[in-house]
Amino acid sequence: MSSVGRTAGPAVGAGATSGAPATASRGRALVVDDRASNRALLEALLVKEGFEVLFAVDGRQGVSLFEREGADIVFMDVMMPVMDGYEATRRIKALAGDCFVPVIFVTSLSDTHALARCIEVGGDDFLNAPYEQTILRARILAAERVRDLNRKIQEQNRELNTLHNHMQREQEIAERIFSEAVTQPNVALNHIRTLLRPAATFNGDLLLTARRPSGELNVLLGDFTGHGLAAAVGALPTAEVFRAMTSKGFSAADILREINYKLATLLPPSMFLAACFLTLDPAQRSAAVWSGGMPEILVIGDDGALKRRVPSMHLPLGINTSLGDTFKIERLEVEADDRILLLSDGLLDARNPAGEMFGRSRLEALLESCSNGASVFGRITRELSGFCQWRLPDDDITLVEIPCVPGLAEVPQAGAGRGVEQVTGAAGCLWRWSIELHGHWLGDVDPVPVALAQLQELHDLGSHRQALYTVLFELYSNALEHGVLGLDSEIKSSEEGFSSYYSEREERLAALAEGSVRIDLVYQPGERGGSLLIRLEDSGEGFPHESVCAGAASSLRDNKGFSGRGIPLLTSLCESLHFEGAGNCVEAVYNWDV
Amino acid sequence: MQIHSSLSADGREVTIAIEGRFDHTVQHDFRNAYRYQDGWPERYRIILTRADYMDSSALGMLLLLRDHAQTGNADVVIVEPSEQIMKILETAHFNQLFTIIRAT
Repeated sequence: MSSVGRTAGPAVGAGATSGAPATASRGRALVVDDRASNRALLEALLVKEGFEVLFAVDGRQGVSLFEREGADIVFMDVMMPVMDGYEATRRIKALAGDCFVPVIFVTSLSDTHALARCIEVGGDDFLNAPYEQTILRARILAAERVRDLNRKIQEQNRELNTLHNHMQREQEIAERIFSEAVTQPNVALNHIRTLLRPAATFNGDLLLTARRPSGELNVLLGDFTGHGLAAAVGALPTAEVFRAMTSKGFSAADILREINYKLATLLPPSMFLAACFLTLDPAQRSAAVWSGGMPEILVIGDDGALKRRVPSMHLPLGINTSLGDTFKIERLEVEADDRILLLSDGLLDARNPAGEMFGRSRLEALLESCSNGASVFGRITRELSGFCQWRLPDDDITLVEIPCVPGLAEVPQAGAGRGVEQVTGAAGCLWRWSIELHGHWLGDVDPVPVALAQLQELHDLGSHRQALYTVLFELYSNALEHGVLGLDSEIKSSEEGFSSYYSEREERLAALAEGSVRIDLVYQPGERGGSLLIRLEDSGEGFPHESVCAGAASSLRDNKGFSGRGIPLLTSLCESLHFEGAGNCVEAVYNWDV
Repeated sequence: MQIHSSLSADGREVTIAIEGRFDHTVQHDFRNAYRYQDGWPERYRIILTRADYMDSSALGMLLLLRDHAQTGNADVVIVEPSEQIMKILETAHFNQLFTIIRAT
């Protein structure tokens, strides 16, 4: 008789299958036993239970039969020639892999160690022979229950895997779009050092940089509630507003107001953007800062010592549609080679494998230890990775170091860049635009970006944009601050005076009930390029412009820098500059022509 | 349970006490703690005496509760935050939005 058999119903010879009974098949059972009597006993019972039965007379045949035919349940003897039940079970389990196939040892051994080993090698249950049929039936049921549960889990895992892969593909696509729209357009990254460790594919922390038409750098570091895709969606509108308004020359306050309004109307109530904002002009040695809900902004001197902390001064963005009365931009004086450090709370909350947080005190100790000139950024970065080790961040971590170096801001230059464009249209054609602001409108509206936008509509300003912005800005600041508000520019010349000048400006502007500024722009295309006449008139008393202009000319010669109504700067950018009357009226001509 | 909530006998005050970490893992429980109270209470008291950590999603949850409370004209009071949590609330300037009763 062949040692390998297959039976269901009446036992037949080698390789035969016992015909399936009338009841539905419970699948295939593999019986591995060297004793014919044992095989016959099991066969009778299994066929009655509805199994198709395969036989093998030793472990090796059992393994090869399993490999060829497969089985839904295996009954295994322990002591067999060629290969014993332990080894056969180990191999069958290895062959089955993730697919769960219960193996029940059927043995007359009663040694507890031998029985324990049945389970150790991968067996799922054992049954002592002789056994009662009811017990065997019960064991089979239990094994099937475990097997079915395993199969269900396998199936669900497969579904989950498919779903997960699908989601990952979608995330990768969305991530690409985000990086193109949000991160790629950032500027000045060769100066700024950044550490970005997102907790998920999408970063809920947001770093934006862009240049104003005047060359100053705007930086926004934000932290949306939560992390991942849900946190990152708000980044798109934020980046859009930030870039569009920065390039048009709007002030930090206007940009923040607009981002706040947009996010408050767009985001669900539980989501907001903690953010800090920085406008940096190293040439002017000043920075405008604002922070809502972010950890302190740190200003570090070139010797590594902490010079100043700027704590959060406001609610985060996107909570109320209006920023309210307490909203205020702060002005910082900075020295060349100072570094400004911005960080998100993910850094402070980062945890090590033991669950301990990085925390404020660790950061303070690092700042303390850096006062001998060591790089704070490098120290924090190293300390953080040593601290977290393999633990992935629970929240997005961002650290940004902005050096106050002259290269950070681009100084506008007249006529630089792409050269002069031909303007079509007959000579003698004019374009005129004007705006007149009275009383509190002077505090509410900044006409400079508005005027610049009008000019842009008319003509692609290209490389002239920066210079034109500077000219308009300087002229308007003079008209408003010295003319209407009556502020003395001398105040600004001292270190302490600088900030008191701006707080005085805020106060007078808020209380302003009368006064006016009128701006007229007249554009005349020439043969090559064109000419723009800018005329400003304010309601102020004017100033002794003749002597000031003479003084400015000499200070320019002596290279004393730009002070006193920005007149040297204006003269260097404009074709001509004339004050009229008492000095409350000024005309400047800016030429496209080289 | 990290979150316990109860309604006062007169139905005027809902008390929600949070223990341990007040973060995104309790989002669901926190919302259920105020959503399924009968009637319209006049005050929600959030007891943080035994909370030791708070993240930005917890701030978001407080904003949601504030939204919910405002529809019923109710107040939200934050009670006894730890020093660490007070620091987080102060950084976010949430004292502008909520009454905070500090531990004595």
